[in-house]
Amino acid sequence: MALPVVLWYLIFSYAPMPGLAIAFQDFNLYKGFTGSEWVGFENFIRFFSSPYCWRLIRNTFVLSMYSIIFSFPTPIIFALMVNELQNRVFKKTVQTISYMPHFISTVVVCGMICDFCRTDGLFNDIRMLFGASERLSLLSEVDLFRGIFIGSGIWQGMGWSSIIYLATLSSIDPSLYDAAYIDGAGRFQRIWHITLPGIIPVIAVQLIMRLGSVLSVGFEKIILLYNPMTYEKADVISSYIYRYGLQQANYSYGAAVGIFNSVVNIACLVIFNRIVRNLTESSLW
Amino acid sequence: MKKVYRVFALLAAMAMLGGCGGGGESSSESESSTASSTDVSQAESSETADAPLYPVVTDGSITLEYWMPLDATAAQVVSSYAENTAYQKAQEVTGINIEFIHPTVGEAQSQFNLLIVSGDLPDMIQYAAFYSGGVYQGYEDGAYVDLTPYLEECAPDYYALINEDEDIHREVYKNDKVITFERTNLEQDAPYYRPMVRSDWLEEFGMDVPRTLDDYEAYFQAILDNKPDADPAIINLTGIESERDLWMGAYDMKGEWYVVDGVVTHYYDNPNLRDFLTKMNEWYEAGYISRDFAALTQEQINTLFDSGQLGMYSQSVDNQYSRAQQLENFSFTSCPNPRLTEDQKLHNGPSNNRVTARYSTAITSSCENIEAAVKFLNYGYTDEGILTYNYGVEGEAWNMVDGEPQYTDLMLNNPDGLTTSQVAYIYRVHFGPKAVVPDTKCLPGVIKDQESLDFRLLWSDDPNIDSDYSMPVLTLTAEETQERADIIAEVSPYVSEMMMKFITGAESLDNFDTYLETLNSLNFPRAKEITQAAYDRYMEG
Repeated sequence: MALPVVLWYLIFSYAPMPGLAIAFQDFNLYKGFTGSEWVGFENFIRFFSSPYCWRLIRNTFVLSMYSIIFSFPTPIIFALMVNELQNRVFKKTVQTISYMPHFISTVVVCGMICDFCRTDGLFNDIRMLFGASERLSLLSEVDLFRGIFIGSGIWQGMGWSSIIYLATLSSIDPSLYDAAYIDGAGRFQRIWHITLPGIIPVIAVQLIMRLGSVLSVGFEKIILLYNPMTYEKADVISSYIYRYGLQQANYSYGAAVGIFNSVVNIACLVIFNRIVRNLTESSLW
Repeated sequence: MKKVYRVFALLAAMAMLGGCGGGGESSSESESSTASSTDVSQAESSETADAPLYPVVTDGSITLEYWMPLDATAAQVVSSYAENTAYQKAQEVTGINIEFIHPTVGEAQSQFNLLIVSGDLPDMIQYAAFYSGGVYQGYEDGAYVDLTPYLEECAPDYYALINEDEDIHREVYKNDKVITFERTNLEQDAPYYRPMVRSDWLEEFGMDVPRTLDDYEAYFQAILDNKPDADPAIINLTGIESERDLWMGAYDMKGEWYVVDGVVTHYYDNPNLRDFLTKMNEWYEAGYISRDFAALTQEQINTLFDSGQLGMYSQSVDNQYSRAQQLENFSFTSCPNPRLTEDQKLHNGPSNNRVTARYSTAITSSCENIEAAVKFLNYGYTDEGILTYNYGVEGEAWNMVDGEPQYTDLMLNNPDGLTTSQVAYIYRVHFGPKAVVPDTKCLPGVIKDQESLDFRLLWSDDPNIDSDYSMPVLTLTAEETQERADIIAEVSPYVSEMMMKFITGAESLDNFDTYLETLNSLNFPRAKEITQAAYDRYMEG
């Protein structure tokens, strides 16, 4: 049973790893891996001396933190709310509707966001209803980028991410609730003392995984939403790798920046795993 | 048949005239090549002394792979250029079979990179300049072959063309080597990119076509006053070079590297940029430039203009014209290059380079029959090939009338309902290496009728504009290419970002000096130095 999974990781995650060595080369497409010149840490030095280095790390970190603070708890809260619903039909309907955005391609979602954010778009119509003084091109406002990015992410992922919590919730023994009810516990007390402790292990594992990728922000949504006006807060490491490494074919440089990104992520994973293990006694290893 | 014969007689005569500058030997060869291509069977039976160039073989034993991106317009109709009748004709005449390899539309650059990495190269590659570091780097790395030793014998027509004209010679030869077959312009074409305005609105406001920036301001203000649903203008300076060229010209700049009296210059660190951005900022603050300008795609901008929500933007003349054909209650016109005063002399005309380096074809080191490939590519420069590639196949796409090719209905009113832009890609060769007849003579969409032709030519006779600032195609060494590319990779996003901020007022223009200082600290002067050195070499060579 495990074979396909093991194969998948071997082929797509482990087999390409030696290729990372191009980060220490001046990689030439035609001469290839064996023919390219070795340059040591030159690509890394170039990245760290780049004027964008600090901004990229900061943006990536901040966006990731925002998503942990805002996007991480919402599926949990949503799952708790859905769990409290009594009407079966209503509950199923809410769940199904909340999954839907997950199945829309990112490109389409971003296209919608772009349209809604234009001066004549939906969001501006709403702003005007509430008495805004002028219509703004929301995607060109550097201070709004993070909000739009995180907000749309919550809308898109909330329902889908809540599935794992709902599944765990259904495994909690109903007799615990009955006992608490008889003891006179109110609804919030039951959630606090029974439901939450029931899903803490899952939350812990999810959180560690999330923290382990603290310096990864996917580039697809970023490059579909940003423009030079918002680079200041929107440009992250992965979008930078995409622009410099892939579009301009600086594969060595892109690989070097990518390695740096991964090293930070692994370090975060180890540190947070230790912290969480000390706090909750559940951890990845 | 008689008529066909007459045409070839004419071509043969042209070949004799045209071949004079290329040296005795090559001219006689090009003559015989044209003659032989007229009638294959005849050529086979006679002419044994001076072997004709075509057909290379008659048994179809040579098949070459040719990698080239399929143009998006062509992709609407065909799945491969194997269906392109002009290429079919070229294969028939040369006797060489071509196997076309097309990357996914829109993915050409990344698939090119994969192709190079794979090491499994086709025989010929179009868009050879995709090679990281440029065509010459491709030769130095060993991916492309030096064609210089083959040209005189196997590509007499191309050889003659690039040696006849000093300008073409300088642009094609890189360190005395020819690596590519270039798309070579026989004459300068009319500018194709201009500001577009609504002529019905101008009429409504009682205005003339805007020429000066003041005229534009008056037009924009009138739109603000009278057209509540429309934004006056979109000017996107971080987009394509042609758009920057248009608008920066008024402030005596161009939108890329350019040359002023032998000095390599760039708008990035130009003192005039401050005045220009001040004006743009003024326009933005006044509401003339749409607030959405940075967040819109070209398609969205087109739609805004076509649907009456936009008063001015810049676009390719032919593109706007063909879109407007499908619209009702819509009239528009193109404008001359914007300037500060009516009589201002502009030097920012489109580059007068003879070579469009983007579409060059190189032969790779995997090619086992370089001579055959060179002979095939030479076809686009033979007198017959020039007609076939630029106009299409004779008798099918055009007929000779009074010594000029005249398009048939296949090209102008296609019976299958194809648009004039579509037929331009499937019955003739639009891009790719060939000797280029200008659009105003052979692009079906342009010469369809007098109106479209006039429209393309509109303002092209402007006496106050020249192309003095245009930058030739330079050849940088591998180290120079790398060093300059690294600097520009840091500088260019910084400039885009700052220009946007200056225009929208997010950054005050008082900080312009800080901007210039940052450019220095990003090493931009060094990039200029490299380019200047390459330019000096070019002028000497």
